[in-house]
Amino acid sequence: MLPAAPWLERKDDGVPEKRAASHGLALTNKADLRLTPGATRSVESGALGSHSKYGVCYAVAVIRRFFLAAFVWFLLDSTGFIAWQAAGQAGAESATQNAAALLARAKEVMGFARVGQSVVHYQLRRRNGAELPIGSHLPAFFFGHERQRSLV
Amino acid sequence: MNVNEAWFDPQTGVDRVSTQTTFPGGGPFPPQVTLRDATRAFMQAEKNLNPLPATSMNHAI
Repeated sequence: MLPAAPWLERKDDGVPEKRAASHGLALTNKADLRLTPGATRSVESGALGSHSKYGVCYAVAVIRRFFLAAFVWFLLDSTGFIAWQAAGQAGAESATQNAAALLARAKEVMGFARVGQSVVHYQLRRRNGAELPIGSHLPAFFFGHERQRSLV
Repeated sequence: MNVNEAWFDPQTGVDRVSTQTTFPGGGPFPPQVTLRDATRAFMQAEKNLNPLPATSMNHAI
């Protein structure tokens, strides 16, 4: 016979035992079992079974690990994002400086320092059209007009 | 054939580009005039300036 649960009192009146197969407990009779105040306190304090308590603890541990892993992942991801953002800002600043230097050099080469109040005038003549097959006779109109002139 | 003329004012950053096209047997057609600065572009139509889309800012002479 399995030991009875601590919150169950058995009334020993000599009635043959019946085995509760589903729970594996040896009971004498329904009427022989009654909850005692001590048993009620035991149930309320969680003594109803160490197996149930262990399951709850295991679930809590799993949830803790999940949140811990999520927190670590968040930290790593945010750190990488911050580093990437800093690198992007540095690259943008470098590109801006390079663009400004290139523009300054272009203005210097184009003679902007000598322009003063003048206006730059640029004239360009160019022909349009696709190339004709080799050997074909091209109208003279398409040639001789291609020249450009720049005045400062 | 295209004849392009551009005037650029370094003080204001505004350029005026005039493009006149001539085909054999046709033209020259009235020149198309555009005015641009760093952010805007306008097409001159008679005495009016019509704003152009931002894509026209990339258009070269």
